[in-house]
This record gives sequence, C-alpha cells and structure tokens, in this order.
Amino acid sequence: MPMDASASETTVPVTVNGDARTVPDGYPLLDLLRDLDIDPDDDAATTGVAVALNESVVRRQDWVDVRLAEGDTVEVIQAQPGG
Amino acid sequence: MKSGGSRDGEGLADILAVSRSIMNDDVRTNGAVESEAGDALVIGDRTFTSRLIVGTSRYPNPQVMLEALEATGTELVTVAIRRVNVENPAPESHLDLIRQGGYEVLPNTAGCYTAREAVLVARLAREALGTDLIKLEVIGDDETLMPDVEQLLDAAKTLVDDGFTVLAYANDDPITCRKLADLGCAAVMPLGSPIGSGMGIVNPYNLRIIREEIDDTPLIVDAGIGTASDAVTAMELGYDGILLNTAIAQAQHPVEMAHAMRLAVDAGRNAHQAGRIPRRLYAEASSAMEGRVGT
Repeated sequence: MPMDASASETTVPVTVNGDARTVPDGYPLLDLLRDLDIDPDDDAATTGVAVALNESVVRRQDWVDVRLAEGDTVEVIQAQPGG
Repeated sequence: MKSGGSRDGEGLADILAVSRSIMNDDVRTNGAVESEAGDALVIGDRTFTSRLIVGTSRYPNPQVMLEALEATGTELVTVAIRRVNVENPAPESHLDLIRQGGYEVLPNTAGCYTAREAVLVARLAREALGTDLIKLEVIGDDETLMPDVEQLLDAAKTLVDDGFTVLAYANDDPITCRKLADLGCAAVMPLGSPIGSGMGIVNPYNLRIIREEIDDTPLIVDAGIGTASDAVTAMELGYDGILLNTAIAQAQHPVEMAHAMRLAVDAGRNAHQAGRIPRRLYAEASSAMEGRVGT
C-alpha cells in the first residue's frame, strides 16, 4: 500500500469549534478551513482569522504544515461585534 | 479673585494673559477642536487623544455604529473573539468597517470563565488582529457577569508575562484593582455597575478609594454607564477614561448619545482638573455683603 494513500483509509474523531467531527487521519488544516468557508489562499478571507490546535495558536505561515490526528481540538476564530 | 487681580498696577490685559497661561498649563481640553497631546490618555506605549473607548456591539445596524463611533471621537474600539460559525457567519465586514474608520482595535476575552480560556483567546486575538492589546475579562457567572477574581489575577499575570498590554476589567474593589496594577496591567478598569445594566456608578466611594490608592496606572470605568451624567461622575472622580457600549448602542438615538458621551467625558475631565469647590452644608453668599442697601 502506498504511504500517501493511507491518509484517506482511516477516519479519526476531532473537535472543531466545540463540535465533534470525523475527518480522514492526517486531514490538512487548510482543507478544514475550506470546509468552514474560509479560503486559506485568499488574504481577505483570512484577515482577522486565527487558529489554535490543542490550545496552542498556529501561526498563519504554519497552517500549511498542520495535519489533524485523532483527538485533536481545533479552534478557528474571528473578530465579531463586542463590548 | 485669588491671584493677580487685586495687585496694584496690573492691567486687565496682563491679568488675562496670566489667566490664559494658567488655562493652557493646567486646564487643557481634549475636545476635537482644542485637543492637545499634553492631556493624552497613555496606555502602555500608546497615546490617545480621546478618553473614550467604545464597544462595537448591539447597534441597530453597521451604519449607525459607524456614525456613533465618529460622534464619540474615540480612537479605540472593542471587538469580541468568537468561533467561526458556518451557519451563522460574522458580518464579514465588521473588522474592515472598523479599520476603514481608522480605529485601533481592542479585542476582549468576553465570555471566558477561566484564566486558561482567557489566555487562549488573548493569544488568538493577538494572532488574528496583530495587536498586543487585550481587554481581559474573566467572568464568574452569566447573571452578574462579575469578574472571577482568582481567575482574573491568574490570567493577568500570564498575559503580562507574555508581553500583552493588558486592560483588566475588574470589580470595584480596591484590593483587586491594586493587585492588577501591581501585576503590571497597562490599565485597570473597575466596573461602575454590572455590564449592560446602565445602573451608572453605584459605588462612587469605592471608585474614589481606588483612584486615591492607584496613582501609577491608568484607571478606566468599564461597564454600567447608562447616560452622560454617569460618565461625568466617573471622570470627576479622577478616572482616566470610560469604556462603554450599550449606553450608546441601545439608546433611542445612538448617534446623539454618542455625542453626549463625548461632551460628558470632556466636561468631567475638565471639571476634575479644574478642582471643584468643597461641599458646604450652609450657604455662602456670592455677592459681597459689604455696601448692601439696608441696615
């Protein structure tokens, strides 16, 4: 079995913004952002957006390297009206 | 007249010149027309001409928000940090609108119940917005929205150590406020009354004690302001600024209230600097008794 095919073979549970999800093991963070209607290649779409993986902030330039694993907790936030 | 006026040989012009000089040295205004850097609000390494920090929530619509912000003269506005929600996305342009207006953004940690949550939200805010400013808010319950002091102090220490410029929302408790100042918070922000209550300054005596005991850190009254006189009261107590949101956003006419708040903050500031007369139980005639008609 080719190594790069294994990612799609298994699915794993993760938590995204408080909701349980199942994603392929090794699912790219960039794809998860696309699932959330955030185009990671569009600077305007990612302005004011930040990501934390397991309670650590992932810097914008490091998003491309993140692959999700079993039990990961992801937070994707943005600025909203507030007082 | 206490000084100058009664001295022999001093003309009216000289007196007026002295008077103007005193005004320029001691009673600077911070209104739009006569703003002077000398009476700026300094928080960390930032300097603001306006002493009003304004929230961006609960306005009837974005246009009213922008007009209200403009009318306050504010330079610093708060935003919340919330999860991206596919079903209920944030108004896309909220941050853009604020930035196009030229305002600096102060993210908050509203809704956090623990130091751990607040620290994560602050770090996310720093990454998302590129600012080290954070309005630290760690609440204890939904009904009062009062700070959880233990968690608040814990979070404040972590964030200050992490290089944040922390503006800490606090109870109107002199001890907590002193501790926050000692931890290195850039501003300490005791509440006037519960968030969104519009109850005004319910304990002016505590706020006065806090001011008297903390002279090395900017103090801002955050929360509870209901109308202009509340803002005046806080500023007359010697506070460095006001943070408010609902009083403007939910007023029947937000833009008019925004303007009133701007005037109130300036009036209160000027009155504080001018130094009010002592209160007296009995009357003291303004007009000289000497030379009055009658016996």
